[in-house]
Amino acid sequence: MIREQGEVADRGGLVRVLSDGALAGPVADGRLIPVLVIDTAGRPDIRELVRQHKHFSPGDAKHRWATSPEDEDLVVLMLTFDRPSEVDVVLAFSIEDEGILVDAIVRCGMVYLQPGTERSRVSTTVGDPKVLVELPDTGFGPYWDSLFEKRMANVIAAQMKVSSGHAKSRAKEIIAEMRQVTSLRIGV
Amino acid sequence: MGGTAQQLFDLLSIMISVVAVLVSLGLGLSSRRTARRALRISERAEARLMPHFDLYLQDAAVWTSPRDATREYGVHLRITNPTDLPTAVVVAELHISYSRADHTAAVKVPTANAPQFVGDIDTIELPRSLQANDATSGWMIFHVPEELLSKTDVQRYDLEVRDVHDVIRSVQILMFPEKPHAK
Repeated sequence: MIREQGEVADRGGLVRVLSDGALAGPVADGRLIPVLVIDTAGRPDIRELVRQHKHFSPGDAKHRWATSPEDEDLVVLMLTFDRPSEVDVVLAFSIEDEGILVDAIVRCGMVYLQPGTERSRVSTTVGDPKVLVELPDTGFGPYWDSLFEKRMANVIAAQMKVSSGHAKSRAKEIIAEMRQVTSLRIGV
Repeated sequence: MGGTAQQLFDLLSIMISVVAVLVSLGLGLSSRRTARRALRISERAEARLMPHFDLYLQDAAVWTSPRDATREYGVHLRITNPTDLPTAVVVAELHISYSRADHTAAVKVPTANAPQFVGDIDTIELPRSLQANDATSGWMIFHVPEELLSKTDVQRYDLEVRDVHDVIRSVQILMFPEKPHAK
């Protein structure tokens, strides 16, 4: 079960993220927008949504972030597309392994979804169809900041065998350094 | 003599009671009918204050571009507002359900702002206001690029219209006869 900041939701129909990257361009004033290559082998509806988007843009989509009381490393992004067709996409992320990716998505407020295969890489499939999803702030930002920091501190404390105070300050440093990269603007 | 008078008095009392009961029953039934009629009138008046609109499909047609297979689907509608509330039609979409390769899908096509090759017809531009007890009619055009429906089997067309009160009405469209495009 997933808790969404006080609510509980089912985790079903997860779509795997195969690889990720970032694109910059005039869309967001040169900001790097995260790109998620997702496994749509069993989801022809997602592939069809991306195909439809080529002709009917912008569409309508809602999103919600969720965490799990049973797994402190898990954060979930639930997307509900309404137009041009009705499709649900649920993406799960490991904070330890993909925290910086989630951080980039939360801070940028946008993400590209690109149907792909195991071999797809963003750098080699730049021209492939993808859909840009806007994720307006829902108040998850501050909650995410503290969650990210806490999880990274726990990981550092466990791996480096240091005190929690030291791990916490080290986690803040690491996160700040990573954010310097993800907040780059190109061509502006 | 006294006994006879008493019997007569008792009989008269009973008769008066029966008449009184019958009159009360009659009055009660009449009041009940009146009350039910008043309730129906009140409910109809109440309904006129609830947001509502009706759709009537008058015609449908499809025009194909002279250059490629892009199509413009047209729906001629009459939209009526039978209530005492003003409203406005704000969204209209053509929902196309189709099958493609190994799956079925649906797409919501928004109204086209400016038909490209339909020609000169009266279109309903959105949002369209409707005053109380008002009606409007005209065409709504939906532009469908050739590539979207190529290699698909269309299963169904539905038109969905929404007003400013979030009331939704839909109508299935069984066929779109082809019409010549504007030259």
